[in-house]
Amino acid sequence: MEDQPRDEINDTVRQLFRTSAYSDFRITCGGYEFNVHKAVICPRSQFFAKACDGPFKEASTGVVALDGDDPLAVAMMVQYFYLLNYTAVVDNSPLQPFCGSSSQHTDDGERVITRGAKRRRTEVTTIAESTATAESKAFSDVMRTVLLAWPKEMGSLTLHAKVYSLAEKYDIPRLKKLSLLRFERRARSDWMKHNFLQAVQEVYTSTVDTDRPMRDIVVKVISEHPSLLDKEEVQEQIKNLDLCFDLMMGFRKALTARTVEQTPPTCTCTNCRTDRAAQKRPR
Amino acid sequence: MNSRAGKIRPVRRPIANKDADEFEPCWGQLRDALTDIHLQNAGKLSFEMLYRASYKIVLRKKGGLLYERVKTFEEEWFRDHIMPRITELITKNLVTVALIQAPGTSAHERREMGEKFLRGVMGAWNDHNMSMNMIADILMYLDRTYTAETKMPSIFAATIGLFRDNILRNTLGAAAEDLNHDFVMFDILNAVMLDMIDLEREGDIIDRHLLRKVVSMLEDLYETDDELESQKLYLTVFEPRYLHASRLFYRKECEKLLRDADASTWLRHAQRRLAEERDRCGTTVSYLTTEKITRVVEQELVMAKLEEFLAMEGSGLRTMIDNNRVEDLSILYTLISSVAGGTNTGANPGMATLKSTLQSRVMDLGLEIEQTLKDTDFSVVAGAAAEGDEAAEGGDKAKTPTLSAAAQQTAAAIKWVDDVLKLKDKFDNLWVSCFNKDLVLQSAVTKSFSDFINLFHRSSEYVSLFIDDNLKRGIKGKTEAEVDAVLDKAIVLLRYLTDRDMFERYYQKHLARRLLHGKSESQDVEKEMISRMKQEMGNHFTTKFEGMFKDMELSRDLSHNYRSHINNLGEVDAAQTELGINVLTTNNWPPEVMGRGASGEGTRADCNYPPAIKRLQDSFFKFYLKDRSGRVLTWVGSAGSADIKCVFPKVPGKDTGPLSKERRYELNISTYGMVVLMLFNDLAEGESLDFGEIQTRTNIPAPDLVRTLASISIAPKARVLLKEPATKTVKPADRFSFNAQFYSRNIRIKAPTISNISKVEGDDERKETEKKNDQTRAHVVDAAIVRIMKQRKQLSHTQLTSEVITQLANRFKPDITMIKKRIEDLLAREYLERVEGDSSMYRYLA
Repeated sequence: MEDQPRDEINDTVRQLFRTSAYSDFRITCGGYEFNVHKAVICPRSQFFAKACDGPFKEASTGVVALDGDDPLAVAMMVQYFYLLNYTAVVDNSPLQPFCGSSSQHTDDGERVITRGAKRRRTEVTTIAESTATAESKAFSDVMRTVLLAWPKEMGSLTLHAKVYSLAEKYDIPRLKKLSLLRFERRARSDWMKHNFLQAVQEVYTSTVDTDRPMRDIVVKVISEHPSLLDKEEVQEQIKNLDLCFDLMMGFRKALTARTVEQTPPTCTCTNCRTDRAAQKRPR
Repeated sequence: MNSRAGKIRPVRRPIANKDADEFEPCWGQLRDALTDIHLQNAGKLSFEMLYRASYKIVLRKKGGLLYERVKTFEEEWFRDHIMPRITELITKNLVTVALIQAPGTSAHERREMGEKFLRGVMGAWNDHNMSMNMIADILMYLDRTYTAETKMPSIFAATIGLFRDNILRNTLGAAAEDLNHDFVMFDILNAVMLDMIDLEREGDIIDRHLLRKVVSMLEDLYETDDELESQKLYLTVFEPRYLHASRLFYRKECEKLLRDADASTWLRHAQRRLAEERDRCGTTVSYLTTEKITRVVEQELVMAKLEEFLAMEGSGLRTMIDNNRVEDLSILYTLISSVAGGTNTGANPGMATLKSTLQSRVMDLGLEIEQTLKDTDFSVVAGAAAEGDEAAEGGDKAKTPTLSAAAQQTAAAIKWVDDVLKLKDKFDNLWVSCFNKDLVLQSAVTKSFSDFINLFHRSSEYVSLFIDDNLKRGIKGKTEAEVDAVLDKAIVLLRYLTDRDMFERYYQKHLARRLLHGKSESQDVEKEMISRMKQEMGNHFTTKFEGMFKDMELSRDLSHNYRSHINNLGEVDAAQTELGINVLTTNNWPPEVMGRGASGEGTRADCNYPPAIKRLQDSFFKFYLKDRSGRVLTWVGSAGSADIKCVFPKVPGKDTGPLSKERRYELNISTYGMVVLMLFNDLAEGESLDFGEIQTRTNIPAPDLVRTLASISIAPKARVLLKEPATKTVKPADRFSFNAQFYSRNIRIKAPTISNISKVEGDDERKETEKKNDQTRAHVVDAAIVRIMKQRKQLSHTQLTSEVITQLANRFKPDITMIKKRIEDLLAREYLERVEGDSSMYRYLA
């Protein structure tokens, strides 16, 4: 990396992230504690701004407890605040395979991003190095522990969905965009994996139903791979979610787009499902 | 929420049930928190927890319900806890004082009572505002999703509006039951605030900070929960009343000033009030009102009685101008020009008044100058200045204590020019220091100057005289910059003249005199003057003047060449006469000089030159025609001069004194004078000639001869001829003889030239000049009409007239009747014809 003057501010923030120096606020979650900087997080999120400035308890104690949220997702959010990206990889070896045999390289897919991914890894390496010397409270240390505690059954698709809902909840639009992008890439390759369903569940329960982008991706992926609907566990899963309706409307739209003259199918939800499956199969 | 079990199981529980279960506990949490917030116990509440609770509710699609619950809660809280506090504030006394303005309460009492009321309202507002802000923070997610999607007012707008609906718009209840009008709290609030502001205007000290806070409350509240920018309560309710009350206040104040004070006080007061009101908008009221309140003060305090103040005797606009009250005038200008309409006199009646007053003042002062001129006796007043004039006048009556009429006129002209320039300086000075170099005012003042200058019928002549005087002697010993200033002044005056052709005529005359008699102080300055005029009026204006200069230069060369030509011939003649000649091009020089004046004689009959001179003329003519065959030279005796060496023999019988010796003098006289004197060379001693004889022998026109004889027989300095009888005037019956007794202390004697081109015209002469000028104008108008018609082929009478006026504007302002006459003349001469059927149209005939 060239030593550009404009990198200075980036490097500084990265440094703050690594060491937690000058930290003036804490985020706790699931027993973990992140030492953060108001100056970094508050301007990016109305929620944190109000928590830090408002007349409430958080302002006086200097701690905000995000008890309802997933610690891993929170760790990702904090990473994003400092590094403008997030990763759940420590050292070179993933602590938990993102899913199946896929390596973290497919995470971002494209070449350009691969370069970014590489840089991120060096970053993580430095964090790992610094653990030895830094204080126990150092940020990277906490991050490492959080990552190590990544529950086995949670796929990275689910993680993106969780980060997305967190970004929505705490009003961090750019993070929302980023996680959506990464979710979409991941969904294209992971649709047949079993944790796809897990992610679908997360998508349909963690955000308000008017928040469309991520739901649209799910509908699109299922529409592109209708055979998914043949699986019983998928059928069971879908039944109780709004996904059912979204899929129906998705198929309806696809139908009109494909054939000009078509008798409008009047059907119940179950019929619709079988009809769709039958129609889709020849393709 | 999310199961972390190893195997993903479909969620079987209906979600709706779970939602319903979750709403109540979450709402319970929030409700308790709202109470705490109102009781100002927020410090122990966890923001995250409350945020999460509201987030959860929204996530479970219960946003609408939450919204309603919060609103209801707030309304109840408001009714139960805040209203009573406010109601207590409204005492019967307050209502009476604020709304009925019952007499008998002192300013102090009123202030105390008002401030107490305002503080009470502000206390309630502050509490409410703070709580609502906190609640809005907690419900941030609700606002971002539910209210944004349903387009409902934000939770903050909905709850903050309670203050408006329940307090400001609340009727007064028991305290106001006596009043037969439905007043609301807002009326009291307004009345109290306006009363405070009036107190401050009267000089009291009030709690500005408190008022400012009330105003910002009104700025934070809107007519409806939609919170449209233009619907702020401040703008819709308070501001109109504030402006209205201010209007009444200033109207009253203005009337009082008109009764008790003078214009100067009024100006300063208005200026101070304007500054105060602007300042008040910054400290007490709102910036939003700055422009509007400024307009109110301008309308009521400045414009309403402007005319009356400006017309005030002893302090009004007239006095300000006359006494150069720079400060007053600049305040006045600043006030007036900032009023709506700005410096546009059409849109701003104040500017129009200022403009017209300035104009009439210029006019009056200008006419005053003329009046003083008439009233001044220059023969006495200009006595001191006359010393210089003697030289200029040639000293024909130099020894007489009173000045000649001509000298008086010169003095008058210079005084007039000086006065006009002084007046101009005065207004220029005001224009720069008071009127911000306002272009409209400048052109208005310029127009007035032009008007009064042109009303004065001698202005053209006087301006030319002024330049003449300066070029002859005024610039002697002056630095370049000073000379420049004089020229500038001349040009400034020139700009005002409309009858420029008149000026041209006079200038030509004066210039001719300066050139021929070598009176000009500096060729360079003369040329500079011409080039400036050229810049100002264009080429055609100065061609004649330039031609005159060219003639002079050519003549100098010519004389020089001729002299060397004679020398080369080697003809040495004892009685050789040196010839200095000026060959003048007829058109460039004034007709009077050229001896073809229109005074009737018109003849250019040569006088009989003495043989020696005749020979010289022939010789020169021959020389002249060598290079320029076909030209005609006419000798103008009246314009030339001659140096004669005279010998006065020893007077017999005188043994002592100067007369006992032979005397030689060099006499400088006019050409005619020389011709006359030469006659006496041939006379025997003691013989004399009478006027008639001299005239027949010389053939000099009678008026010229009178002047010539007067110059050598009357003025004692150069009395080389004796006149019989020895009166002061030359009569046809007089006899003249050689004055053998002539004695002078100087060797060189200059006989006074009494020229017919007198410097200042008498009334008759002036009429003559005008008549001549009118004739010239007639030709110019003819030419213009023909030029226009040739181009346009067909035009209506009015169009043609206005075209002619525009075309000639640079030279003079043609008389309408004259144009009409010229058109008729051209019709008669068949340059134009009337168009059949439309008598107002003319057509050009090729």
